[in-house]
Amino acid sequence: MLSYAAKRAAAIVPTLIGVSLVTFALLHIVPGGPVVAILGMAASDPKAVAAVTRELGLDRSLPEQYWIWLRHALGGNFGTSTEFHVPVSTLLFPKLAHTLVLTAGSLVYAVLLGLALGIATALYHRSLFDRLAMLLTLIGASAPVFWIGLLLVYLFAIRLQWLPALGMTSLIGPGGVLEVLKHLILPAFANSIISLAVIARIVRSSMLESLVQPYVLAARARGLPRWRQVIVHSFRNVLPDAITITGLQVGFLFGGALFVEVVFGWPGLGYLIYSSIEARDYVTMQAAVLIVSAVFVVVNLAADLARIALDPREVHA
Amino acid sequence: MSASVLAPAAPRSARLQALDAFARDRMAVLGLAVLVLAVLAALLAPLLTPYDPTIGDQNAILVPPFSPGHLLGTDDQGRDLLARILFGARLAFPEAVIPVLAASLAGLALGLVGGFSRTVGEVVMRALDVLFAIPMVLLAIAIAAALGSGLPTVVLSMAIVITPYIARVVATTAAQLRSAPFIEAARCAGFRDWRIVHREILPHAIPAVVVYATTNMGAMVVFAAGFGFLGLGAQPPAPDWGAMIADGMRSLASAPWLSTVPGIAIVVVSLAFNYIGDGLRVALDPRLRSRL
Repeated sequence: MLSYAAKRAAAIVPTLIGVSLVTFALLHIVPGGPVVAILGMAASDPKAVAAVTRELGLDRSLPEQYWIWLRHALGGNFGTSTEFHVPVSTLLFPKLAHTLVLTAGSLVYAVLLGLALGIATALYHRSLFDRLAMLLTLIGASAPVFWIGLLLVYLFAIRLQWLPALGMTSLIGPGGVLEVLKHLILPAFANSIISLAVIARIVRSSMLESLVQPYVLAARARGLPRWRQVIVHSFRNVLPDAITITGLQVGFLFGGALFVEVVFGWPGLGYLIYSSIEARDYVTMQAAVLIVSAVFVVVNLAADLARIALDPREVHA
Repeated sequence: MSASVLAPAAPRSARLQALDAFARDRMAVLGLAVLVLAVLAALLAPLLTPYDPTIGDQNAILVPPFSPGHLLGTDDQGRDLLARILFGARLAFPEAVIPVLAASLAGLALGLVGGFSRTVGEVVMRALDVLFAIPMVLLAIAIAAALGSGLPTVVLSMAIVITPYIARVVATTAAQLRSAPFIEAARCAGFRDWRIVHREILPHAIPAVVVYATTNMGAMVVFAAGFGFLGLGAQPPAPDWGAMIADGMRSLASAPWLSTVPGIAIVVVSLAFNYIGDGLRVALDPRLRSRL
């Protein structure tokens, strides 16, 4: 188990190197090249161009440029934002925390509602409720997440005025945890919809298979109450499937938060990427993409290890 | 006893059986009908609406839906929303289909090499693995943002990020076939590698790609709309569905239909693709078909 975990963890090193290469290349495909990308308006100033060329070795070969860039990035130096005129690293880490909070909130929705919906639709298989729920999950999974987000804003924030649509500023703001949670309810739900639908569908089909197994029949024959048959006997055997699919969704929820952050003005990495695109602040965009991808890789690794710890059969498979 | 009872039923071709299975899937047929109508509507847009999608009527600003003359209402510049939706379909379909076609070609080439050759294939597949490590939508957005906005960039960046997924589908098929008896036979017959790949493996890889591409086409419509929403797609005043949703955001409280209507268009097209994809997947997979 431990050796497998170590092997699996070591495998992310080449992946991360590859990710850094792709992110590095982003500045080089900007029309005008990295100098224009890094300096923005200041690229017309020869002194600034000379300074940045010297600092980043832009007159040297590509491998050398990559090496210099990587050393800077590993040391936490991601360059200076052309839009906000501060080191990018000071922008990134508070935003990362906000995006992780949003991811965690979405995960709670996706798991709780996904499991409940999956079990309930399996129990009432082919009923009107089942058909309606499956249609709704399919529509939810077929719709743009930013559109769903806007519908939620219109309904719950503008019409009913139950929840705030915008205005989340900081985790450690004056309102405290309760204020953050209030701002989290809508965006986390919007972000969770696709994963919720995926989990519900997988759990439903697993439950349908599990409910007709001999051990459930045996439980029924022994006169156990229905909830015990369903939860203890059927659901227990759906868990591996549920955990596998949930693990896959964690990374998806983290990586997909961009649109939801834009709609709800959630001050995370996705919103930072959006505003840096609008401002043509390529340095900030590059760093944010690098951080999101690196965390994405690590989150997927953690989910994978958690799944294996819960279901050791996987290691030998 | 008539002869026809004794004679075994004529075996129907696999293609006919698949067609039959697809025709029995009511939702898939409905999806196909909706899609055909949508494509026709896009092609015939100038005949279906008297309005120009980019020029507004200053006397008809923010007319709500179901008003006489403006079935879906107008936007803050007095442009007819129905006209913008119809002409917008002319952007939405190519934006979803072209990247998938391009990625299918690239994915077939890379996947065949990746799945068939052991040494070069390993390198190709490892390189593609890196692209899986970056969230797909984020990578595409970053590429489009770096290259500069516009339709060609969106198509290119979508094609780049879809290619690894299609290559993986092809590589899996090719790797499974690598040691199949009929490939061994072809080898014994002295056929060269490239001939085995394009005569024996390619015919098996293409259906897999078609199914994968169709089942994901709905997601591609949504994906493409995302670029428009972020302002990276076709530039104003082009009637891009995603950009229309973003424009409507500003007047969500006073004119909610501006964002709602293009969203419905996206959902209808994407749902239609999803049902067709499901139907096709079941129809082409005899194992799934028998469960019907």
